[in-house]
Amino acid sequence: MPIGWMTLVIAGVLYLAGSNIGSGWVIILTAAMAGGVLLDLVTVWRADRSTLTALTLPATAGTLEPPRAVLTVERRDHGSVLHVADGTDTCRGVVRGPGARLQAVVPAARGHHTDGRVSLRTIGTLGLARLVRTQHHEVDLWVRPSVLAADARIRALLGTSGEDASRARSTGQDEVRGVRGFEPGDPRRSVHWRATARHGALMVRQSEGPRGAHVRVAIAGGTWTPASLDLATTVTASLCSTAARLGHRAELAVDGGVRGWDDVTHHGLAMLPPAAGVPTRPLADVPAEGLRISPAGEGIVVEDPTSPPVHLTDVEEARRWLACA
Amino acid sequence: MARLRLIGAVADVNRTRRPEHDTVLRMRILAAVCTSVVAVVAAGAAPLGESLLVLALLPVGFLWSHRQRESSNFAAKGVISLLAMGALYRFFADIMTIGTVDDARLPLTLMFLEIQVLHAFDLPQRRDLVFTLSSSLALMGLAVATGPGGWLLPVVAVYLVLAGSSLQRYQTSVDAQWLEEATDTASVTTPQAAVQPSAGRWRGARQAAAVALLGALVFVSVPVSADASLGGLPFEFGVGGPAPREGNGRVGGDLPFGESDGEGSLSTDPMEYFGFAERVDPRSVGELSDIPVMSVRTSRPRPIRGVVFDLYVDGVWGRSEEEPDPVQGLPVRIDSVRGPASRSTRVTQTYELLHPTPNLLFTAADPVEVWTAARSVTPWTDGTLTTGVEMSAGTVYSVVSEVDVTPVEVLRRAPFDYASADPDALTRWTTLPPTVPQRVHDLATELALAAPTQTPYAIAESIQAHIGRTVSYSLGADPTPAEEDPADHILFESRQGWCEPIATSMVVMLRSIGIPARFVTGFQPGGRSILSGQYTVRASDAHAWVEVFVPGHGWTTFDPTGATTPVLDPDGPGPQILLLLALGWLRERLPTDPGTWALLVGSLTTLVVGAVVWRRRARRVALRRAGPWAGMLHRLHAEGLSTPDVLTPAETVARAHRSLPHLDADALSVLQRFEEHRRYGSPEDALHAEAEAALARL
Repeated sequence: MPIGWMTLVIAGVLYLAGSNIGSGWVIILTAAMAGGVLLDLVTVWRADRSTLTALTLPATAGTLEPPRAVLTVERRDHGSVLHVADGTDTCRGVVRGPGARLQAVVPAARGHHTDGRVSLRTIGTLGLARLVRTQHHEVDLWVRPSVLAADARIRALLGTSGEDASRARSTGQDEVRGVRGFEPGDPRRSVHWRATARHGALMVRQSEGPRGAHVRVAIAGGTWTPASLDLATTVTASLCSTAARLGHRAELAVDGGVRGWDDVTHHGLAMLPPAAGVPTRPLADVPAEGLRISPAGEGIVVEDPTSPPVHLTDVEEARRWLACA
Repeated sequence: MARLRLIGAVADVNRTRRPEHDTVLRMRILAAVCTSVVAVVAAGAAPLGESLLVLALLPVGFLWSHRQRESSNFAAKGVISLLAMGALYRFFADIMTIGTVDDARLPLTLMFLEIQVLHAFDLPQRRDLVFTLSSSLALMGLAVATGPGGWLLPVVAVYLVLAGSSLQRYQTSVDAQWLEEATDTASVTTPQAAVQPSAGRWRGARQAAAVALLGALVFVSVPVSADASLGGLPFEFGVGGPAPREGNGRVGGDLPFGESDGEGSLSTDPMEYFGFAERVDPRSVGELSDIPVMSVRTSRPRPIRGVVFDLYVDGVWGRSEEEPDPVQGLPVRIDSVRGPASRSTRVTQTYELLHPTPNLLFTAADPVEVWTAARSVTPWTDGTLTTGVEMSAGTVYSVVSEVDVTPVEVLRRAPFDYASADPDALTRWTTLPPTVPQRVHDLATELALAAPTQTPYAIAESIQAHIGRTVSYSLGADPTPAEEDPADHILFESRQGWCEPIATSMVVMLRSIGIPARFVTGFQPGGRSILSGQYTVRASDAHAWVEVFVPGHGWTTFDPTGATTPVLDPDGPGPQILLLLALGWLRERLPTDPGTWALLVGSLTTLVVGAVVWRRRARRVALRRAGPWAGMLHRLHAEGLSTPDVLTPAETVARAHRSLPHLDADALSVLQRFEEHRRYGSPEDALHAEAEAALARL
């Protein structure tokens, strides 16, 4: 029983006894106990009303690299204590005094998060009253599948054609499609100085990517469980990102469509249902070509036309398979 | 197998899940428990030797249980359980031998002390410590239930402070456990700007003051009625007049015997009230002091009956010769004398004699059970109770009485029918000597005929009302000459007197017209102590009144003295007496004219509204003078956002954007620009006007 209620019950019993024998002393004791509870109620109410929080989250995070959240709390404490927890009550912190800055790595499921929930529990000076409130913050957090090292697996998949592609990339044989405006994050060497001079603003080359080998990863259609799809998207992102980094042309076939691998495709993997903030629905099937990933219980099966299917049940197995360990 | 499972379950319940390492919490709770033991000793609710032993053992137990907090302690728990059962056995054995209801307090206190000590050796966890703190509250309750004086207040205050600080420390332990149970813990840093070293300096004192203030509010608000019923409005108004009639008597006055300077058989010893003797001469007046005679714990204060007189000879009251047999038992049971039509309620009164008294048992009318250590009471046929033991100071006894609560309307309808009554008994209570002058009989007949209905109760009311109208209460009245009848003298000659001749005149007139009546002496209920709730009966509370026999109902009480004197209500709810006195004082000074009231209320309202408007306006003017930026900071402060001076305008506005998104962002930007210009550039009039407009938009 919470101690506040216990105090009130004891005060009630004492009150009955005291009023029965007409003892002012007992009523004084009762009044002091009720006064303590009242003080805590007022303290908690006032402290909660004056508590302001601001939540800061990074724009993107990985499923295996959860975001680091920063919660700034400003309050008039009035002697109260503030218990702070994330929406899933996984991570907790205690604030005493008028303000604090809490930093923590909070778990976040794959998907797009717009509601950052923070649970606030204000507790009175004597611990006799508490007020629980959930604070909602508008956030814009993308939790994308994490990228694991898959160089060995890509090389194993591509064989000699992979080595040719790497060579082609190292000699800078990209296919230039045109120029576009500079965006933060564009490499400096992609700046097209002549076009920059002509436009009066920084312009960069828009290439179609290296002329390397072709890596295609397909995620099978149907209904997936959250765990199996998280694993599938992690393996897919790892393979496609590594292939692109190694200078190959990576393609993703998922939900009835085929797209080239880029940052937008990576974001798209974050939104494959079932995911946070996305209504659950079955995925449309895709043509069976290249490497195909299908659900198998809580794990996945990776089918490659050149080798026997592989059953992966968790991230560690996936990490080992991608590293050909 | 089932037994093993049971043992396993018991062991699991007693397993120490999270040992409490906080020694400060332990010390504070130990201090609170020791204070409660001190309170028990100081209030005289427990024997000194045993209490000192408890005080010595408590720190040992706390230290031992702190050292053993991480071990299973299973064997010690077993021993403690056995000893606790022994303590319980002793408690029940003691309870079986008690003589009065009040005697249960000592065994109860002893049991709590013993359990407290035993439990001190088994306090590994926080919940155990809290249990100990709770049971110390029971000890404190037992200490204050004895009704100690105001000197205990510092001890109670110390206890409450210690209990409060223990709860504060308890919260620290709760916080630590809450963090321990989390999968992950956030790192918390306190920004320099938020650190206010002076903030907590007076916080403890402020909180204690707040608890005292809130407690006082609760104290004066709780409805505590004298009949122990709960609920209803917390305040009562207009209780300064005569007491509401719960029974049928009007006894309840506060009559100043001690100021008498009359003559007659004057007695100087406060306890030698002549009313408790075998013969009472109403011509006498006592000079009684204010020393307390007894304290009475009861839920319903009633007049305390001492001696009942039946013989009236030559203006002197006496009692018939009688040799009643004592009745024994625990409790001593006495046959109820209430009539079949009477409605009654049982009232328990516990008396503690503070001064030796005659061998009388003072009780409320009509007693049916007496709890006394003597286990023997002698009930007289006139209603007087005596005992063979010495009634010395410190004697405690409890009496359960069947108090008459028949509504007045019912009593007024009871017919003048004494045919079914015992003729001898009727004669006993209606006999008058021939020395009573004829004019007393004539007046009685006249008053009886003037009564609204010809029933005994209505006639008694008529006679009492006549006495109230024509006789005034005075201890300084001329003494009644020895050759004159006291009833005749006060009714026709002096028209002044004290309770004995006033009550005598009523009894004589009632007997004159054939209504059985008797003269009773005793005490008024006394004054109620606000703190202890007990009624302290003083020697000066000695009183005399009348009992009238109403057919079908039994003896009902009348107090003609009360009809002549304004009385205070002894039934006032204890905790609110101070408030009521204050209200009474105020009421005397407040106007009664509605026009004045309207003017007063109107003026006060205008003053308050004017003050509020002026304050707001003054604040607005001050803020306008201070500039738009100060106005914005004031607004942010009102929203609960602190803005330390070290922040730049941009930082302040960024903080406001982040924490108060509902505020107009453009207006904040304008104000930021204005302040930056004011601080770092040249102020512009146009920007000032824009900032003023922006402030108005916020």
